[in-house]
Amino acid sequence: MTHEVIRHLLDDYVTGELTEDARGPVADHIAACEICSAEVESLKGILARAADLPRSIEPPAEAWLNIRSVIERDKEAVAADHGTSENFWRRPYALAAAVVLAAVLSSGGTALYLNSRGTDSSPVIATNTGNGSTPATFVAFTIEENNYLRNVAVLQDLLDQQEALLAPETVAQLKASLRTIDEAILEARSALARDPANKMLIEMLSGTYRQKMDLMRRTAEMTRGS
Amino acid sequence: MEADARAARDCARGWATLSRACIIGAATIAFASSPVIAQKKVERKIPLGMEGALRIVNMVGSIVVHGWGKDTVMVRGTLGAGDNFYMGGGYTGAKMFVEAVNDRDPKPARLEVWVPARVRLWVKTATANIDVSGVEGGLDLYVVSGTIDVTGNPHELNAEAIDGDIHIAGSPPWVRAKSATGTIVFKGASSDAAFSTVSGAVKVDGGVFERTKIETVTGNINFSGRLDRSGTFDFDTHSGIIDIAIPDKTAASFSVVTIAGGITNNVSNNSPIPGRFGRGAELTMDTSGGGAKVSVRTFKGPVTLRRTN
Amino acid sequence: MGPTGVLFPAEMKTSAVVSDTIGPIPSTIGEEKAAALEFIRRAQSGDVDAFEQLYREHAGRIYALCLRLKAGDSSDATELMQDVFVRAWRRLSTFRGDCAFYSWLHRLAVNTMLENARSDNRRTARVLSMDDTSRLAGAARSSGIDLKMDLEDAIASLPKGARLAFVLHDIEGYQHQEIAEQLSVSVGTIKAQLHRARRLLRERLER
Repeated sequence: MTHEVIRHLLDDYVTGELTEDARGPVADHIAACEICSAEVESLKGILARAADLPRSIEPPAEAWLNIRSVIERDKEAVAADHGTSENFWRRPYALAAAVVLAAVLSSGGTALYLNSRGTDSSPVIATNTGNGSTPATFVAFTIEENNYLRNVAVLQDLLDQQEALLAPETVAQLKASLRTIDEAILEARSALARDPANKMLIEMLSGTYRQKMDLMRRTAEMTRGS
Repeated sequence: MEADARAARDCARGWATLSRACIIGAATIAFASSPVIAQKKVERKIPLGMEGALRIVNMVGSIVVHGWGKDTVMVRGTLGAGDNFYMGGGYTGAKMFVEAVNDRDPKPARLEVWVPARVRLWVKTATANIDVSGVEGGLDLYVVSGTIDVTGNPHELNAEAIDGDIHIAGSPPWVRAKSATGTIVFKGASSDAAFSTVSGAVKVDGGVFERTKIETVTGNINFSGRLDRSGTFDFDTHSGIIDIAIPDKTAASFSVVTIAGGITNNVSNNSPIPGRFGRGAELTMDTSGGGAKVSVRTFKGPVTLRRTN
Repeated sequence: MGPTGVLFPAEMKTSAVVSDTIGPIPSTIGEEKAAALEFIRRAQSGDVDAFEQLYREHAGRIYALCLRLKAGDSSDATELMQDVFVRAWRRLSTFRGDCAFYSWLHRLAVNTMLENARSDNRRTARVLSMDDTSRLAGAARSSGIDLKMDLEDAIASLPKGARLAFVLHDIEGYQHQEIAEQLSVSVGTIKAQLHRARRLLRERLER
């Protein structure tokens, strides 16, 4: 084999993909050829450095929120198509209670209000669903609640970190918007406590909560790494 | 996410510094009142395919974009003294951005850009205003507190603001507009439109709509347009005032529910009935035999249905 | 094992499990823990929380892959990754347990990227020029980071075909044949692209 031919085999030689027959002659040539020898070392260096690259890189925190929101919409669409009241009751109702607790955490005013009124923030669904407090329903609520609390907390952390990047007027507007949303959530929640079987109220509450998450997410995205 | 992860859009790399630059809203006001500052002129031109992609970032000042029939991107403008302008890319994709010499006191940059009409355009600012006309490709426009003005018929339009207004005059088949406190004004028609605000008003005045979703928390909603009989229309608000005006002989099926508000029906003789437990109101009716599905839901916002003049 | 020490997905393919969902744990999935399989089973039943656990476990690796496939553009990479996981959720019932879950996700990521690129009518095509000194956002950092960041930049600046071949073969550990099948090109093309990638990387890093 000529030098030119062997140069084209160096990649396979380094990665161990040469046939047994070819390996010997190529190795012999490399031992005697400075150019090929240098190229082999260089190739090995690149591959070693590639092997050293991180295999895992932390994705943006809001990625899961976006994925989850699509998945939730998928599930809603499926539930709507199937028209099963049981499916309908479990998830949206759990969603409602989770929204309430999220509102409590995100708004000091809201928390103060609830505390002063002595209103229980525990899920209404645990007692007043009318379809019985089944373990499955309660579990669904707990999962939803924890997820939304976590998601809102993550977003709040992001926004807190980024507050310095925003103009004071914009921060004020944003906080005012979040207060507006929290007040709406609180009002709807109070109504839900009086009328826990109100399907539309649950949907509206869910929608308002989604708007809050969307606003927080959009703000975090706009101020992060433009 | 529009079925994909279009969400999560942020720029990487060397623009990390830009995220800290120029996002000082007061600079816009300061610019108007400050003495004349030394400025640097910019004039550049690069080839870009007719359906290429272009990204523009300019945090403070203004960005005016015109679509034209050439496979070239041309930019003219002025920067603050010491600021830098970067533009580069290939025939399928290019980008331009302004880098402030002083992150803490960014000077406004005014850019006027000519782009191939069918470009896929992505623009991000903090307080700079965005004005786009004559672009037929796709538009993704993001401001924090600047305004967004779009004229023309982009194939797709996504406009997002935190506290800026959004004005659209045209007929993008697909449009999404969001602002928290800004007003959204749409004059045109669309097959798939969604508008969302918290306290900002939404005003839609236009042609034929097929699929429309408008939601606010406290912002008022004014809708006047023609409903495609196979369309779906959703209006949701917590406490905003909803006013829906439709032409005579509109074939639609209405479902209007308000938990604690009121419903005024000037479209037909159907009367709303009291809601659950005597609070609020509900109205279900068909006009001209039914057709488009219209759903209106409010917590306590009043709803008025009327004929257009 | 490839140069990276990662088991090639091909090595995991033995006999397919016939059932629609995961049945008894096949012997080919020795490295999947029972808990992970439980999450998969629950996620297949519609448990979003269980799916989130799968996301938490694999998101970092999938994101790293997406970031390199997308030339270091974190916006595009995040978008792609989100697409991948949404598709994974929607197609979870097709995961039969005849390979590692990560391998299944990995293949889905590459296919998603290719499909999106082919039908891209809403994405901003980004072409990095040779002068674009792009940086990967969120890349792991260590004391030897300068060298690693240089390599990431260099990979990001490669022409698309060369970059795909290098990422899939030299970083992710796929075989030539697998890459050729996924990208619908010949093995010869993959080898040529790999050769080109390595040559360009050497030139750029040794300047």
